[in-house]
Amino acid sequence: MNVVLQTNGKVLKLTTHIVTPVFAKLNLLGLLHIVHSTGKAIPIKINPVGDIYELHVYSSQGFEEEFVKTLISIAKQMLRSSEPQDEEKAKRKQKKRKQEMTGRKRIVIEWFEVDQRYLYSGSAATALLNSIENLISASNYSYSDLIELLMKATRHDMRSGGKSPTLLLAPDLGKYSTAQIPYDSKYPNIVDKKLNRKEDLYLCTAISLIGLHAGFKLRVIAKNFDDVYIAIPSPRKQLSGLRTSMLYWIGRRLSFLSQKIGAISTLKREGRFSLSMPGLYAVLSPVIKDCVTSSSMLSAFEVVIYRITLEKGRGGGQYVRDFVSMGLDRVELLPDGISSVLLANINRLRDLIINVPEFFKLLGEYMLSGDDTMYVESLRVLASALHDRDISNNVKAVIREVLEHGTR
Amino acid sequence: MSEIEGCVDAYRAYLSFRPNTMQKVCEETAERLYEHMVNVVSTILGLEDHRAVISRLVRKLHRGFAKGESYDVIANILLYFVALYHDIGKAELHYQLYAHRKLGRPVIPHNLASVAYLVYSSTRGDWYTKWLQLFVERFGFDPGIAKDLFMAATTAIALHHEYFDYVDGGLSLIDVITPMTIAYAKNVDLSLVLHFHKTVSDVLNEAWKNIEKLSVLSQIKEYVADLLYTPKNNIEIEASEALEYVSTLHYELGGWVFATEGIEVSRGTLPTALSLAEVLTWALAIADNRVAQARGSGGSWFSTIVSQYYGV
Repeated sequence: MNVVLQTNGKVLKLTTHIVTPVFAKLNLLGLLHIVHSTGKAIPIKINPVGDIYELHVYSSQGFEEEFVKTLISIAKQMLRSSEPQDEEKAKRKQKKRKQEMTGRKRIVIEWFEVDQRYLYSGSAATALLNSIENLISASNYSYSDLIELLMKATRHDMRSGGKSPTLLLAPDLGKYSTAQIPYDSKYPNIVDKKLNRKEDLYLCTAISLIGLHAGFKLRVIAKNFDDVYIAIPSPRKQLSGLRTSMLYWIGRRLSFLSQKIGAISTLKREGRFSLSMPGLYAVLSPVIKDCVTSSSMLSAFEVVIYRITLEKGRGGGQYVRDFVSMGLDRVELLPDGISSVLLANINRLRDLIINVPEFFKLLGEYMLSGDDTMYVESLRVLASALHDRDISNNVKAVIREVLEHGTR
Repeated sequence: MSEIEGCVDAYRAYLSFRPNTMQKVCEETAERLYEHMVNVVSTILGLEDHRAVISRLVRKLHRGFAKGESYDVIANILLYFVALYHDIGKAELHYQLYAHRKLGRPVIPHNLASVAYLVYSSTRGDWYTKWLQLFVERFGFDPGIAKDLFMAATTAIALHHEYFDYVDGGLSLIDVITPMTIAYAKNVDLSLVLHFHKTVSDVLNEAWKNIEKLSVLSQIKEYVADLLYTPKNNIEIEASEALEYVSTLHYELGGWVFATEGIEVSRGTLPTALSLAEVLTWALAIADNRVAQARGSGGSWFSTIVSQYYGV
């Protein structure tokens, strides 16, 4: 602990834990979210060191306790009791799991509303989805001890033959995720060693989950599988002072965008909906540009975008379909006019994405390549959509607005 | 010509004519920049009614003051801070070129350039930590509140000439007008790189030399000495970077709240911080206007309106 101040102010160096580099990015976003929510501390420096990040926070007395309490509070907000949709189905399930469910609530992650197995399984699910608060008291760790755990650069790499973690939090495991390596009990536990009790606390996993919620998620529902698009911002270089809070704000806006877009169902549509990676980059850009406009700041960040396919049904697997890392400096190329129109129509952005994904794809390709013909082509695609009878007049009104302000 | 080369040339042009022209300008005008800073600091610390309101807002932000200090002290520190830095943007290169008639218009409003100076100071070096130390260590604030105080002060500086330009039916437009929207309204090129020559330190040192002699400063002198940011090198910062931090505070409190999915974000202190920014803005505008009147200038339209409101 690096105490540099005299009385109740001190600088703490928190360090992200790492399972994979993306897990560390999620960890950082989660840490920032918790620290900002406490009010007892503010980040003053982010230092990327290899694949991990050091987060220097200036904290006041009682920060440790407030940090843990805020973590619990946020986790509780994220997790809620699920209301079974079908009564009969619920009764069957209740009967089947009567013993298992006694005294416990079945809790799911609010946003995903999918089977818990995508995120957790076995003891890990039980541990995390039960009250984290109880787990903390059961684990006999003081608040300071818990913060101490976050001050050590910890690489969770226990190749003990256990099943692999979900790709949602560690997509860069890629194909190895199906090879059942390398992490015991799915996720790192509180001290990174196997405890005898089932109720281990998965502290850094919980923080990464908060990071996941503080980033961008888009679920595309199909018949036999769901595609989940995720975008996580992270710093490319050291940030200090006020600059550190920008990453938090970008995350907040991306999460806000997720809410506005919601889930997309393709069950009634022919063909597979596909929003390319450049397309998603273009979708994200207006809210990012709304937050950060200076080129020096944009170039300080990057965003990792990945698409994971989650198979439905028994034995459903998860597969990483796309995985890219892009600098945010290209966001500068998004024309201000288009950015403003998309922000002004953010409530209809979802419809635009569903009806003209090709527009975003070409716009994204223009932004990434700088090729003007792509930009012109994206507007041409948009203009042709005006003749599509399947597209509603409301969406066409937005399209007209975009075309009207499409000049750079 | 690259941007950097252009900047270097601009510096040279500025420095080449500076000695003679500066002397001439100084002779012509009754008040120099550092003198204006001193005068506004002196005036603003005399606004007792405003200080009382600011004290109450700070107390509300703090919720439990334990150090036995008066909230008036903190109110005075904030008033001093906004008064000292509100016009430092006039030392920016583009404004100097405009002031010396080498540019037809200021390119960027000096109030926004002042914010740029403070944002630069708070993203480099340890100046920002000193601000935090003052409020956290000396007064026992939480760091989050100390940051809110900083943002409220910079917001006041950003809006002190602009607030009433957009008034509409008495609505408190500080909630919706952001420095970024002002930049758009004033047609400011957000990619513009602002330059402060390192001699800006001379202006601030000169101002401080006079301010520390003021009797009204005696109560807060020991606290504010560390808040003087005097760079040793030239400063360069993009206009947009300077404004995006302050705008973020506004977005959060204005029309857009960027809630995080599944996570309720409740910072109950933020509305109070914005109210604080509003009162600081009014106080700054009044002090600025009084000083302008004292030197024979009518002051800005905004400050005139504010003064009429208060019957002063």
